[in-house]
Amino acid sequence: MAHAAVAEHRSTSPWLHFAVRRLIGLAAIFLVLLVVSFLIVQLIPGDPAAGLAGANADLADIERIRHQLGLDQPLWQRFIDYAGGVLSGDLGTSFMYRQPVLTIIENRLPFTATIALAGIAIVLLVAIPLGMLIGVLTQGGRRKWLDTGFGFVTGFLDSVPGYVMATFLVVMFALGIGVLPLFPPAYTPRFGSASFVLPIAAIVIGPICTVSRVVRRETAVVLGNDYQRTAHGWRLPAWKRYIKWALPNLLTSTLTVSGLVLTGLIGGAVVIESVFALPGLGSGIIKAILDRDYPVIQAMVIVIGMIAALINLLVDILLGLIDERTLGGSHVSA
Amino acid sequence: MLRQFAVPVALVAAVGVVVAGCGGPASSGSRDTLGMSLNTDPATFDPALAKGGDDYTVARLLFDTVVRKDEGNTLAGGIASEWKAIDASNYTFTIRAGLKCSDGSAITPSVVAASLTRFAAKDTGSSGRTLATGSAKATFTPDDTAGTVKAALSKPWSDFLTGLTLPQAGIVCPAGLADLKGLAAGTVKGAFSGPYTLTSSQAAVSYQLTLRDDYSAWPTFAQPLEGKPAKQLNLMPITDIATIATQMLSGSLDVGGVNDENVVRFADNSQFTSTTAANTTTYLLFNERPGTVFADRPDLRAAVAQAIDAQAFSDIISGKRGTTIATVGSDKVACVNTNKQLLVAADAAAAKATLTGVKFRIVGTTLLRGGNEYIGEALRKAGAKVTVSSLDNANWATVTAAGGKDWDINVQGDNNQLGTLTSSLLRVMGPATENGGRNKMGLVNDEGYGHVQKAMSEVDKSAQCAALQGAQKSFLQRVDAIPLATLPTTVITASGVGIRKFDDYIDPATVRITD
Repeated sequence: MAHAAVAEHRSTSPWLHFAVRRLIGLAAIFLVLLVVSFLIVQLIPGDPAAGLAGANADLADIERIRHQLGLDQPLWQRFIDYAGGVLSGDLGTSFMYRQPVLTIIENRLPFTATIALAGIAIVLLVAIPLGMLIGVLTQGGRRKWLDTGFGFVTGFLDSVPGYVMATFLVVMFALGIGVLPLFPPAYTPRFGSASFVLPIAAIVIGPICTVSRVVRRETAVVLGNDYQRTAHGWRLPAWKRYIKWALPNLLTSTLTVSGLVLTGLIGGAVVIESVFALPGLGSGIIKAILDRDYPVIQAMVIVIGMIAALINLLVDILLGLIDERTLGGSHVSA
Repeated sequence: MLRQFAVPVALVAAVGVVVAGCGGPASSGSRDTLGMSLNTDPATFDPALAKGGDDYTVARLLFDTVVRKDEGNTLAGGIASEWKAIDASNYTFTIRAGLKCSDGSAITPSVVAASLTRFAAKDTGSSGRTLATGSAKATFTPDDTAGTVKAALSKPWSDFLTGLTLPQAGIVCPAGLADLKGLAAGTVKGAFSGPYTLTSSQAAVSYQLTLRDDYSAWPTFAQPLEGKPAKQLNLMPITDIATIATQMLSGSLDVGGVNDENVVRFADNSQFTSTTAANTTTYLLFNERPGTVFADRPDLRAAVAQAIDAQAFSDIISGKRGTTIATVGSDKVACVNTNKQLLVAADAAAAKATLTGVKFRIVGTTLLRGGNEYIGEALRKAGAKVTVSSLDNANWATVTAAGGKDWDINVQGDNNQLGTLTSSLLRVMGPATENGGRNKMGLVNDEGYGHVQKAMSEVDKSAQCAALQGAQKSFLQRVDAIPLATLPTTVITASGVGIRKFDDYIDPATVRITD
């Protein structure tokens, strides 16, 4: 019987188990975000209706706006309306903009996606070769000075907070005020996509250091394996040893870290977008909090939370494609 | 939209943007197009429902008013070529012939009357209604044959003509009145009566306004504007003032509102011109509702005045750009008191003798945080036990407008949009906020309010000023409020761009390309 059960278990695709488990996880995250996003906005002090009514409004005006926004309804009723709307695909209407929240998010998401996705691409394309290069050059304890210098520089840059790095880049390279004025200091349609250069630079420097340090360490471990030493002994071409055989073995840990980094990039965008006046989700959620724009806050919390969950899922799928054994691992989470 | 972002996502484009960035503006920055900052997104494009500075800016650009503010507290023609106050309750406007809405339909007296009727209706909820009509009901009667509109108020209100210069009183064309939801969203193409139409609106990103080819209702200012209007205005919401300043310096913007110490970044820079107005004033306002600390205690209120140095407060809130005031309005407002003898003189010893051990709570907006803290420290130095709460605008407005006893001193920041003394005086006298008025102090002050009512029934300027002087003297003698300082607004314009200021009002629709 036991053998039959094991055989049946083995005959079922690990991808199916993975999919079921992760779908349940995603649904749970969505529900938590739905409830938490609704409850946290109630904790923000102040009355959205008073803010919208303006300085010259009387109490009757404020009460009328409160009624229009549905804020005079009991909390449970508002939650049911909100949850019902979200589950039917309606994220509500912004108090501030009087537009569908979905439109606000559609306006802002491309800015956040641009710096986050371009950022992660640059991080991977710079950090992996850099980390491998340093790993190869310092293999077996050679070039101690390089190893120490690399560790010092990347450790230092990694420790600089994003907003400090952003400010430094503005002071150094921003048109109008920089020491070497090359790029616009903030988003402006007049300068087109050049507006994204400094924000992307600010957001990638820390993660490049993080990932390249991981890659350097993994490279040292992989190059120390028996099969690498054997290949080296047979004098097989270097590119084959590093690119064809070492690189795939580095990717598991690199991608895992990169997934976390990308999630962090979206979180870091809150600060970076504010420094560079980029109208993305990060600056949007800060503005929505200041405006007490409840529907926008709630929707952005859900969208940002689900993006983070989906990025982690995507990373786990990639890891599964590289090594199917990770699909059943308990170390992954939705 | 998505196409704009597809390329930068790829690495190749990331390299491309580095190259592109080195060359300067992607577009040539044609002088037909100007970039202008907003502090935040407009909450609505319906002028009647405009409630904040950026709402007013877009309303002014998209919708014309029957009359406009001009220099020296005078009026200029807008949609009306002539206007006449028969008395403080009855007015006549002659509408200019040949004016058109953005859909090509004629702006007739009937169109003007319909729009003003909606503006003045209580149900509309316009923030400008009480400023323009007081507590009166307004009736507008058009005569399309004679080309006139007659306005009748149920009670006299001599600020009425000035009230119609408010951007909230912008004339909405019939297409807009037929689709109020679209009007608010800015999507009704034929709604606009002003020089520009809204051609693109991307919330949080930018708003594109395009000059109308068929527009001819340019206001008739006493001193005509120089230069030509921009064919396109790109309005960008930027919350942080330092960023606006940096964007100006980088050439990304042509017109920017810089209202804080960042103004010094443009000092001695010939590439920029700064235009400063002081339409925001600050004063301490006491809660005198029964049962509060300062109710029926003029001695205690005077002791607070004795402990405060208005000049120090001014320097803190504006970086030494402001000036002290002797009433609730700035010096350029008509009929203001400038006699500082009416103010309580500083006397630290006397203040300490009265205030030692007295407990009270100060509230103010975060905009004046430094000033709020200064007031708190000055009163602590005088022996009072003080708590200071700096609240964001919405929270502050809620607390101070709700009446009640949750605060004792309010550091009032008063944006005098109308530019008349009445709107500010009604903060310290007349019906209380909880009774539908503007008075945050809580007591009517019958003597002072009587003067205001008399002033509003006079169309003769000298008689009006005499009454307003009486109202100011009343609240100053009672020490219901302590005048502090102006909080200047500064607009920076790049070389070759101009903007006009009328007394304390900087008119965004006067932006011109001058080179």
